[in-house]
Amino acid sequence: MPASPAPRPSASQGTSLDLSAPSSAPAGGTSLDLSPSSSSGTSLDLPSSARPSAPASASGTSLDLSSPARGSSAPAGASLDLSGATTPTAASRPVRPRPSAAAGDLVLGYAPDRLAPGGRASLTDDRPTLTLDRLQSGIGVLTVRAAVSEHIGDLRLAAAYRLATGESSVLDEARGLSVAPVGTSRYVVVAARDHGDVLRLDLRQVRRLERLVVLAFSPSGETLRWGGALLVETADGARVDVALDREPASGVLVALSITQVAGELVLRAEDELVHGTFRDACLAYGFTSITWVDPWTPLT
Amino acid sequence: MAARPMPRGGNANLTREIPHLTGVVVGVALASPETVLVDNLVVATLLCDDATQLLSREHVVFFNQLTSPDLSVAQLEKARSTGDLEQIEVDLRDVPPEVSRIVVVAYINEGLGHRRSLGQLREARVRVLDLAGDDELVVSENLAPALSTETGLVLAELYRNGPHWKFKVVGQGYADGIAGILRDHGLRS
Repeated sequence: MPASPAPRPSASQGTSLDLSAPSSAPAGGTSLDLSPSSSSGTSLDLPSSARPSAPASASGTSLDLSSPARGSSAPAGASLDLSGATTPTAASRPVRPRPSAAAGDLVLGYAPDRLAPGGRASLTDDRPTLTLDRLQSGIGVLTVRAAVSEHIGDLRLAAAYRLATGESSVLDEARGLSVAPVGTSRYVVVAARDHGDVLRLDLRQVRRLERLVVLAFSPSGETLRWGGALLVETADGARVDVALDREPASGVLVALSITQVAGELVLRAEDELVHGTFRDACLAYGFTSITWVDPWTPLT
Repeated sequence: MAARPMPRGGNANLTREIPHLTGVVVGVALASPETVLVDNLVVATLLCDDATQLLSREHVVFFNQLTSPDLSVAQLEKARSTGDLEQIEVDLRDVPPEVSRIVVVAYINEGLGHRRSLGQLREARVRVLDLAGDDELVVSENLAPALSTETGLVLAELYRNGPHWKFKVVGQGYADGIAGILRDHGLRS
């Protein structure tokens, strides 16, 4: 049988191009989105540790594969190298597009800090950012809850979010804004009371989320004696905590941001107290497309 | 090969019976009148060694990780033919030698409090198409009637047999969804 190189219909050609995009995106996308937001100390440390993780190994693969393909004078040798022992007759196969620095693709040796499966970590000033892998970011539910004592005051959680569609608003269970997006039956994020405030992200829909910023505040506007922590938990039992310690003050604490980058959730302790309202905090963090009824209430 | 439904446990030697076969599409058809269930169904493909252990966390191909690191296995964002909920393209020639078994599973993502089980499925079939031309090579029997409270299901696997690739219908259910499936394949979920 002439082993024709699988002349696939043009539709599938397009599909395979689409598919390669997410695999090339993480290397560039992750590091691009991370570097501006992570503190300079962290980003200095990270590139030096050349641990081969998700993006690095992908780029390594592409280097290995593309170099034999470029030496096209010896196609037989190349196909043997690529596919192992089972394909003696695949000399003229088209090489699939793979990210390659030589071709101008962004292939950076940036390995973000990871959370061990089932592990524990704290976001600190020295290491404010952690990146969940695509299993941690895509299986089950991600929960964010406040572990605080009553001594703090009437602390509640809220969140500002932006979806991939561009839709942007605020979740505030205390004001009855408990689901996102509003007006559908498939919620990406839900705010609930369950022994304290809890935010739940449905990770089956993680790709619909662009960014979520967790806010801590006092509904009565009183001065809070800040303490305790936010706990972020994955379906595999891994946990990240974010301390809420600071001097007593009133205002809206922007405690944590969660950014979806090519299917990976990047957690970052923001730890910034905004002396103002929800609207002030949202504007400070780039949620500029929310329409406000009053400084604490978005128009929904 | 005749497209007579293959029962669970049945297998076919794909590349021996079709010598020019270089790639396959695994189509998974899952159907239920419960839309909440269908919305939360996930199909995943696990690239495993000869002991059926996952090579790494990056060797789980699903909606949030559409390709294996070597790009030999790719889940389509949208199935190309009607009837299949998901389709996975496997370029058999590109599968790394350390991958001996390619296991296709389905599970219910435990979402925002919707408790569902695979017993609510009306149909659960897996089939194999020729990547070149979409000819249907094998189709499984309907695995749905045997399901009840399970939330995870190993549908089928492609596995090496000497120089050949075989396909087997598995149909093994899991009470604890993807966590149990990943645990049995050497990973914490």
